[in-house]
Amino acid sequence: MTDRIPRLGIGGPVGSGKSMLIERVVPVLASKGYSISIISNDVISKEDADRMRKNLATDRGLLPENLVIGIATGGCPHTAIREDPSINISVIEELEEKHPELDLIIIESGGDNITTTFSPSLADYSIYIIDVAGGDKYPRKSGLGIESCDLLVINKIDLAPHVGADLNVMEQDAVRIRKDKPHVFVNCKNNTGIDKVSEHIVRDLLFDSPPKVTLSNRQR
Amino acid sequence: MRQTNRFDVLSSTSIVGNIFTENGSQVLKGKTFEKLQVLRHDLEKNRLRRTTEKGTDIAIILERGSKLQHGDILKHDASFVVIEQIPEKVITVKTKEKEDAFELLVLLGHIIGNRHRPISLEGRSVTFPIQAESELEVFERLFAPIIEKIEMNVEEKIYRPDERMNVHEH
Repeated sequence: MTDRIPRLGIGGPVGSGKSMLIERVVPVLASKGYSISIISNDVISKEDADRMRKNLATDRGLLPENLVIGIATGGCPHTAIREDPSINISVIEELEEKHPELDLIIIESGGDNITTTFSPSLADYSIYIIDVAGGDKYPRKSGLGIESCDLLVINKIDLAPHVGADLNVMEQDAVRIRKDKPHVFVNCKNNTGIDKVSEHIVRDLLFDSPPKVTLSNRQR
Repeated sequence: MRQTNRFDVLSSTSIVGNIFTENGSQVLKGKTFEKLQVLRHDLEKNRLRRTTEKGTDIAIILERGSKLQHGDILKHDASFVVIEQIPEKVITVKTKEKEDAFELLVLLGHIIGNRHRPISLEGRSVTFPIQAESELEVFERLFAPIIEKIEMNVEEKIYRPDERMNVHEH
């Protein structure tokens, strides 16, 4: 049986910045030499997958185009990552077989509410992303996604003054609700906090392992 | 890279017993060990990096199909780590009648299943996890059509769902 490739799940409400976070984190990880594949779940469209393929693969060559995969779940995307992740698992197992050189598989889900979580059989590590524009009450409202994810990412911090959101309140609530589990404030538009997110992924999911295929190997 | 100076990577073969079995208590006899507290959710994982109560950084990679359990003893070189599952809030529902109507049981299962909860069965009761006490109110409302025929209570315990209900594997 092939080795299981570390899997990162990224969930969060529509518009919170899931695809944008991937578009920011992948270049950082790729620059460290990691080989990555991205699976994007959506209800009917494959728009996010197409955009990420263009921005990361076609335009920048950070990964092969065929390693950005769109899945149209045809129903609530959250069921495809929790109750019945079999569509995703079959795609991943195929990837593991054909691309054992991969260091990381990212699974994005268009979660539609704060209770979205990833089945541990699907994702080894999960990020839940929310944004400041939803108000500073968001972390306090808790919900399984916010509470149980391995890393909480709070995006669009530049909007805080415009929407009257207090980042200190969000910080305190996140610490209280999540106990000792980490959170990071980011602004995907200008890369603020992206290094921190990448560090968490490398440390807590990849266990600081070096890339399987080093750059010098790849060039041969 | 199996091991670095900074932390230990443990695998399925590092599981040498469980403290709740006779064998397991023998393994730890006279030994010191560290406790690693994890949530039920974490026990389902294949990869896990956590810190023990004494601050030791541990990374665990399990083979497919292998799972950690409450009380598992992990051995690395001469040191031992015991997995301790963190208790959580659960609701237990018991039916009052001796002979339950088919309808009552179907409705009960339907309501709990609709909320995507795992369950465990014991005698005439069913137990499922909740996130907060406030969910008791939610379930009281959901159970309204059958509320006269059941008893509900909330407690905090180390919860182990019935494995037969695991829809996550395929």
